Amino acid sequence: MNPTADDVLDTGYRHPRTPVELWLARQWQEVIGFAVGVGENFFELGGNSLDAARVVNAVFEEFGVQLPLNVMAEHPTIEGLATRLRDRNALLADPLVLLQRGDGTRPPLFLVHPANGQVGAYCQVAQALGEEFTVFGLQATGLHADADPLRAVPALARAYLDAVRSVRPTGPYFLGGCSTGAAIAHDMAARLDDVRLLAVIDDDLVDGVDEPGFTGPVPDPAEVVDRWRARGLVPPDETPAFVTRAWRVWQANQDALRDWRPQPYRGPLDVVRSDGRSPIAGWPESSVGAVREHAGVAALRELIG
Amino acid sequence: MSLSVQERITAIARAEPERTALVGFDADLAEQSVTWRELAESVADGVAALRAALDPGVESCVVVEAANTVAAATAIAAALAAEVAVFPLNPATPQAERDVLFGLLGRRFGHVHVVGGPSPVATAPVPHGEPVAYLLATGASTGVPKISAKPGPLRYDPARTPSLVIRQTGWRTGQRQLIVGPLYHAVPFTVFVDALLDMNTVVLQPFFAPQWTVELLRRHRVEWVQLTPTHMREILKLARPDRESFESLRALLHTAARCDDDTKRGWIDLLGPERVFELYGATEGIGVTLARGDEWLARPGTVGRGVLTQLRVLDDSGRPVPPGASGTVFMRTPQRVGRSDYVNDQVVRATPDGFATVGDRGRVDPDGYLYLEPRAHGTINVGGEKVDPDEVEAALLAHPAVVDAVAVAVPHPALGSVVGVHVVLRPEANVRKADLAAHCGRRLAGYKIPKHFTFVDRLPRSAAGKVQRWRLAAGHEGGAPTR
Repeated sequence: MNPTADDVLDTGYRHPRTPVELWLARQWQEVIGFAVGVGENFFELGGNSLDAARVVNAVFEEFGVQLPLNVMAEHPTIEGLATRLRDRNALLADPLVLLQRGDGTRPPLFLVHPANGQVGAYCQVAQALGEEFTVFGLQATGLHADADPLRAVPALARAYLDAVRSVRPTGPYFLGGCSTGAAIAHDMAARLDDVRLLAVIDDDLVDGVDEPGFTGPVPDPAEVVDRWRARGLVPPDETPAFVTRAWRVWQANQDALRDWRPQPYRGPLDVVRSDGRSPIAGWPESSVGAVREHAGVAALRELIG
Repeated sequence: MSLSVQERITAIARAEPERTALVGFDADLAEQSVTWRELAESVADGVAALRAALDPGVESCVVVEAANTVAAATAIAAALAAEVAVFPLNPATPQAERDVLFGLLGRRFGHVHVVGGPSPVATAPVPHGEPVAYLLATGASTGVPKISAKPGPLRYDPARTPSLVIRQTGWRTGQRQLIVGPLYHAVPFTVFVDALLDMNTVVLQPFFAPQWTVELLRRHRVEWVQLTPTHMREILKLARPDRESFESLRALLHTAARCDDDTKRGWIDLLGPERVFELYGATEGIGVTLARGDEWLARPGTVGRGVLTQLRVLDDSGRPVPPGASGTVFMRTPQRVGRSDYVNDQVVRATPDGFATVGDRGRVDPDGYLYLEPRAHGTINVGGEKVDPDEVEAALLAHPAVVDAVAVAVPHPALGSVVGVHVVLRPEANVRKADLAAHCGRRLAGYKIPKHFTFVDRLPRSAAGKVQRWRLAAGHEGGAPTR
């Protein structure tokens, strides 16, 4: 009955970090049947050659790239396979990213990126909700292509509303996010009719949601990217140019949050908090109507659909 | 010496009036205790009430809603004492299923009398058959109700009560026994009947809760208990018992379903091999095998040797297989003692010389030890590869977060089927499906790794511990999960 060393409860899930990894992670989830971390071995999780062929076929349909049928034997992880498709990240620069394709029984949840502009950490929110939930992420512009990031909450909110409306022209809407993402979601909610959920999720409840992050300007992107690669915060083949872009996005989001002037939003605010300080502690009182507190992300299940 | 049930109860009450007969719990879980004197009085009242209610000209059976309560245990005792066939019914049986069961009973009995229910409705006159002591519903794992009948009336004979098989499991006259499984299931019911005739103090646990079971064993200094592998697994995983809780226990008998190796070893570690007994034998009473823990340790996986039972392994054309080879397991007992016949015309398959089978497959080693194979209908065919659900379940159960698991076939467009599992996690567990898949991947070939995981609060097991796989069939609630 004694658990052996490999019986630890968590084998170390690592969430996807780039648009290609996010896309592959979703394909794998749909093919294998459950969510898979970027370092986990496709075949050791029960993926078979038919499943691998489905992934190869999906890559061809999405990117027009014909990978060899045995590519998964060589690259049995999401992280590994993504290196073969590295140059396709720029093609997936659209703000809207489908993180989890639910079964269509629930309205989609839209989660806005935190300060680093990335949405990979939200995959865990999707998993905590359950596979029946459809979850979209809204990622920052300028991380994987040389576009200028947006620097004001209203501009971000308007851009993301366009993206949301492209897949869901009418309400009800279900929005949320961590830190900066919560502020942007608040601004989006204030501009929308029929918002049923505005969820402010405590950073502490989502592993790695603020990583990679910055504490100040970057003197040496090459040194930083080495450090990030060593910690698994970026793919093993990430370049210093990404650090430079990520810094600009981070800076833009910090500027946006600093200058944020919340509009009134009278709907209830659903705060998902841990034991620490409330994630809306610094918010102006005028921006907040009723507040409902929840102990875990899974509590949102009841509020969606 | 041979006594009727009523004579035996009266004799015990006269010899040991203040000895405790039954310990139960009321609806508020307050403990109630009944002495043998009180039990004998209640039984006498019950017998009188039955005699008044039943038409002596019509062969009747009595249905008792058999929750694990003092009232139900007393009603069963009264029916046995009155020598009226008694059928312990799961109180949660829905009306439609009751109609089916009562219909089956009505084919054999002119009156079906529900204790505490409306007056019996006479069915078409039925010729008197052989007397019946009690009736038990079987077929819980197939979903098709069957009722087996135990020939009656029961007699107490100190040499034969309980049976020699049960005697070999550490049973002692006058012992303290805990009944955990429900009285409407075959083994808990029959050990209750033995307990009644053999002056046990019976503690009735109204529903299984692992911590509570351990507490009752300790507090009532229980000497003998029958559990299912599911009970055993949950106690190990959820109650984390210490050896001291089981100091008084002379024997644990487990039955009903295959026990996974980790659970078996866990209990052998707790109790020592001499106190762990495994019994294999169908409700139909065609024979039994028994394995003590030390025999199992020497031959892991065995369900033991026949006790008053001859074993024979036959191939599909009915010829004996070579020693050690696999085939269908037939058993024969010299007496028809304990042998039951089905009420609804379904007879066990038998050879002309009296060997009978319930269809299990297995092999017998040169020393006469029986090893069972998984039942063929549970095998999952993944693109032509055969997967034994027991193997998948055992792999999952080796994960510390998993309390219970069952593997079933889930339809797959290309492979025909793939492995799907329904898993009960430890309450505080935070484990991903991929973690469980990876865990299985370290133990099983790729095609055996489950593709569909459904987390459930509990599995549809019959109260005897058998998984009701038909409740997990694809299309059924929770049977075919989404991606």
